[in-house]
Amino acid sequence: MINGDKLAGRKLVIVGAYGSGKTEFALNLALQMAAKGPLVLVDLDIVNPYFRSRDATEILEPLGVEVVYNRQFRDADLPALSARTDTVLAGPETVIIDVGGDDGARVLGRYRPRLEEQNAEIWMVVNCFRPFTADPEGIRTTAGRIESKSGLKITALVNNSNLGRESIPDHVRQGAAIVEEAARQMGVDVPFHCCRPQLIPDLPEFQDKLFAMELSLFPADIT
Amino acid sequence: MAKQLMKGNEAIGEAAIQAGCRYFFGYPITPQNEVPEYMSRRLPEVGGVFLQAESEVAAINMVYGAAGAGDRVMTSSSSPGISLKQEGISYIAGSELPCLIINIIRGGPGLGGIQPAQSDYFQATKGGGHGDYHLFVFAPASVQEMVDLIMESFDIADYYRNPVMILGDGTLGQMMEPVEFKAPKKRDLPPKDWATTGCAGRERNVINSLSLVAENLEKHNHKLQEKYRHMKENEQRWELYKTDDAELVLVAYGTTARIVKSVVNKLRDQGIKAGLLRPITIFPFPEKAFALLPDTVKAFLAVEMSAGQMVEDVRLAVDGKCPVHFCGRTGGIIPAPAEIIKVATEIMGGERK
Repeated sequence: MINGDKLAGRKLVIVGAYGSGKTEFALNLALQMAAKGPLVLVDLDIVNPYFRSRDATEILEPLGVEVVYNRQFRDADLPALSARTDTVLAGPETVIIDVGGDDGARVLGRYRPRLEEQNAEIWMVVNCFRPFTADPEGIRTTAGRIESKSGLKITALVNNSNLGRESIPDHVRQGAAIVEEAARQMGVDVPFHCCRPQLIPDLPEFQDKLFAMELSLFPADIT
Repeated sequence: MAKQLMKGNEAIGEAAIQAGCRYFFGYPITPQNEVPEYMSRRLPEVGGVFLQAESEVAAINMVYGAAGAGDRVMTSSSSPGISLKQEGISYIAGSELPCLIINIIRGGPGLGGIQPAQSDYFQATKGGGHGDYHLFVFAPASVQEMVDLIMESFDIADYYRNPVMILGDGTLGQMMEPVEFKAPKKRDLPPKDWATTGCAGRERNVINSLSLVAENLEKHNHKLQEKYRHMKENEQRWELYKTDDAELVLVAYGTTARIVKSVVNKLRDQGIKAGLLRPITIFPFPEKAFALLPDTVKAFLAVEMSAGQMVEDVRLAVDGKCPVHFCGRTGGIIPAPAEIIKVATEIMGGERK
């Protein structure tokens, strides 16, 4: 589980390929850190209007997490940024920033000076069962694209390898091997291996690096 | 190829490529942008051509050209963009050219919104553009089913020399599910001896939808109608769920059918014998499925993300034998199980236990 103290006051940017699980990771991170001091979740996804962090506002705000996005047109695909983002990036709050997939990282360029000044962490979420990130080479290519669009250096990889509802413990293990090799080649860490909560008992070897994804954005009414 | 976790829109692109599609012409629009995005990355890897046209009108005419040359070609858009393509689609249908058209529907009318809807059912199944023609239309309910149907669609298009449409909604385009790609059941496909492939050594082929002699045009129309009859006879597809003893049959397609499936189970918990009829082809509409339902059926309830479009085909199929009710949401709002259950319970005269 998360060591909240280590991340307290930090600015943590979550990037990744389309559909790698960035938003679900950001939401679950927010959920776990909610109790540990002032926390802000900035939804910077302006490339795709479906399945964004802002969709969980009603869950997070009662827990004291401030969710930042364009409040006037929540569902729109407008490239509109909230001025509040600049304020919280300069302030003492812990900030998690959920960024749009792939080239959606371009928006980070606008915040780059502030993020560098704050020594922000840039974590890239990887699912090896997604197209284009199935091996270390694909992961590095995607990482390179994100770095060149954002102008920021990725500081860690998060293993989120899964097949949705069909996930089994071995998916996490297979993903871990690939993501750790990519991280070794990139010279960065793998702080977390994500899994569905029910898989936790089957993955003891990951110890405190195992990260349970309790909250899912998949519509509950669709069976 | 092992299972992958794919977004509906990406899976559309990969399925088309696996089915031999090498040409994509389109213009971006939410919520289907991952289709051109994926094609632009993948088509060059397999020796194909991706081209972002200057407009939807240009894109569909490029499809017309590539299809006329006998190649497997696809375009994709969402509601307003599909409206723009209608002239070209009518030309393609009139010229009897095979191609695949994707419509990931968003709420309308007009520019509408960007949330999911099923309000383009009339446009997809009744012609859409001018003239007496029909597209062959599939309405998948999951990412895997969409993949399977797309891989088959290119064969169906070639077999009938007719454009095929995949009708999905924003949810299906955006949701992520595990998928695998399997070759479809083989069809005997006629050679494309009509295609404009260069006429050295043979008479030239002409692709055209203009026919100024009325008698000839009527003859052509009869040929097209015969083709649509053939589709109705041979291609209707549907899924029946818990209809064996059903008193109330809910009819729904696409994403809505998945919600309705959970509604059927909840209604049965309440003592109401409900079932689901899910059309998989919506042209041809699965009329034959209605003949298979038991005599216990007392009423039908069509559920759609529209103001009521498919419900008209349900009424035609039921032919006055039972009342047909409707429940729908519009504007991009997905109907919630509770509201469907409320309508269903009222139809059946309240809860049973």
